Amino acid sequence: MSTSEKRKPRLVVARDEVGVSRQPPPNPPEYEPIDVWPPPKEWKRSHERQPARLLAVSVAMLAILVIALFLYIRPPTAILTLTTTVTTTVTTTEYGHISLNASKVVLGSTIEIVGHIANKQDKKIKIEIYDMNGKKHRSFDLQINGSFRLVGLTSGVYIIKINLDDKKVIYETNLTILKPTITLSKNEAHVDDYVTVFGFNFNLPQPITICIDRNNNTQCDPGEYKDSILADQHGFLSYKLKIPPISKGNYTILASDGRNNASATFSVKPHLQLNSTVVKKDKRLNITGYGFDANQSLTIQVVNEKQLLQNEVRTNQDGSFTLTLDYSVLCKSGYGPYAVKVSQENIEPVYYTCETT
Amino acid sequence: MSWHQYQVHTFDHVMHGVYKECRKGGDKEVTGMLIGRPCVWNGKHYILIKDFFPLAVDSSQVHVTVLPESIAEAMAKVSSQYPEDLVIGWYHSHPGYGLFLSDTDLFTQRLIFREWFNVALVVDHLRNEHGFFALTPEGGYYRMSHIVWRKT
Repeated sequence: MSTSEKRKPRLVVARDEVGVSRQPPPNPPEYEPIDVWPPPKEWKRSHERQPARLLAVSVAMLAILVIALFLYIRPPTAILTLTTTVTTTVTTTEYGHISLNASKVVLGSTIEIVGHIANKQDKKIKIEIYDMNGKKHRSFDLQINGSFRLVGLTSGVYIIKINLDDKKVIYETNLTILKPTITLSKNEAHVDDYVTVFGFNFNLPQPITICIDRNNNTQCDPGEYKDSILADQHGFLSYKLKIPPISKGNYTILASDGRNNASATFSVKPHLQLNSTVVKKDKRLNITGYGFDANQSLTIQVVNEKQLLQNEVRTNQDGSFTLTLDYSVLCKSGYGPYAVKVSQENIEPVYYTCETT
Repeated sequence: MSWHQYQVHTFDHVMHGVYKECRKGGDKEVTGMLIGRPCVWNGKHYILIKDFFPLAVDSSQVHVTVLPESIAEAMAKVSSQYPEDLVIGWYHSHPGYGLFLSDTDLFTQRLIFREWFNVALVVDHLRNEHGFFALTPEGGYYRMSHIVWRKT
C-alpha cells in the first residue's frame, strides 16, 4: 500500500448514538465472571468431563424414560383440559380427580375446552355458568373439543360446570371475569394538553365510549366531549385525549362498554397562551387564557423591569378569555422581554419580546 | 477474552436481589424494572444492567398485573438515584415453567420495551434458571447471551 493510500481519509460511518455510553464492560482482574450463557466451549468440555454430574444426568434420563413408559402403557382415563386465550392457564384433570384452578379472563375472550374423555369422544358436553350465589347465567351444549366466546356477563367470579350429561358434573372451576380499569398518563392537565388513557380488561367486541364528565356520573351522557375506541385482543386500549376548552376543576374520565365502566380523575389547571412570542410593529397580540373558573374576573398583568400594564377581563362559561392588545400599548419599554401574568392565580407566566427595528 | 461480545452484562448483587424477590413471591409471578444503560465498546453494543426495582403487583401463578402507582414510585426512584441511567428492561418470574416469553410477555415487551436496547429477564427460581430475552426486528424474540460479574 502506498503512502498516499495510507493517508486517504477514512470514511467514518459510526453514528452518534444518543444515550449510548462508550465504555468497556466489567472485566478481570477487578471482576470475575460467575455465570455466563451460553458457556464458553472450553468450560463446556470441562463441565462434560465431570463424572458425578454425568451420572446424575444419566439417572435423571432413566427416570424420565421409566415414567414416560408407565404413562404410555397406562389405560386411557378421562382427561379434560380447560384453556383460555387470555391467561396461559392449562389445567389438566382426570375424571374423578378434578382439581379446581381459577382463571382470569377479559369479557369477550374465547374459552376453549379441549381434551378427551375415555371412549366418549363424540359425545357433547354441557356447559353451565353460575355466579357465586348459585344463579345460573348460561347453559349450552358444546363438543368436547369446542370453544365458546364469553359474552353477556358482568365482571365478577363465576363457576363453570361441565356436565358429561345433564346430571353428572365432571369438571368445575372458578372463572374470574376481570373488571375494566383505566389509568391516565397524568393527573393534571391544561386545555389543549394531551392525556393518554390506558385501559385494561375491556369487553373485546364492544366499542368503548370515552368521555369527560364533571358530575361523577357512571355512564357517558350524550355530550360534547366523547369518542369511541375498540379494545385490542388483550382487552387493552390506549387513547390520546386532547383536553377541550373546559373550566378549572376536577373531572372524571369515564370509559364504558355499555355494561361495564371504568373511571379515573384528573384536574384542569389554568394556563395562558400567546399567539406569538414576538410582537411586530403595528400588530396586535392575543393573550388567551384557558381553564379558569367560569365568569371569573381576572387582572392580566404585563410587566418588565420598567412598566406594569394591567387589564381586567371576565372569563366565559368555559373558563376561557381572550385579550387583544396593540403594539403601542405592549411595547412602551422597547425590546423587553415582558412577562404576562394573572394576579389571581399562581400560574406560570408567558413571555414575549417586541420588534424594535 | 472478548468480554464485550456478550450482549448483556450484569452483577451478582442484581441477580441475587432478583432471585430473592422471585423466591419471596413463591409460586406467584413477580415483576420489576431493570436499571442500566446501553453501551458500546470496540464496535460492539452491549447492555449493562446495574440495579433493579421490584414492583408491587397483583399476581397469580400465570399472570402479573403491575399497579400503576408502583410504576410511578419506581420511576421517581430511578430518576433520583440513577440520573445517568434508564429503565433498560424488566424482569419477571416463571415459577416452575421455564424460560420463554409468553404471548402476554411479548405483548408487554412490544408495548413498553420495544427499543433495541430493552431486555426482558425471565427467572424460574424453582428450577434455578434465568435468561435474558429481546425482540427480533420481525417481532419475535431471542435469548441473549449474558454474563454475570462479581467484584473480586
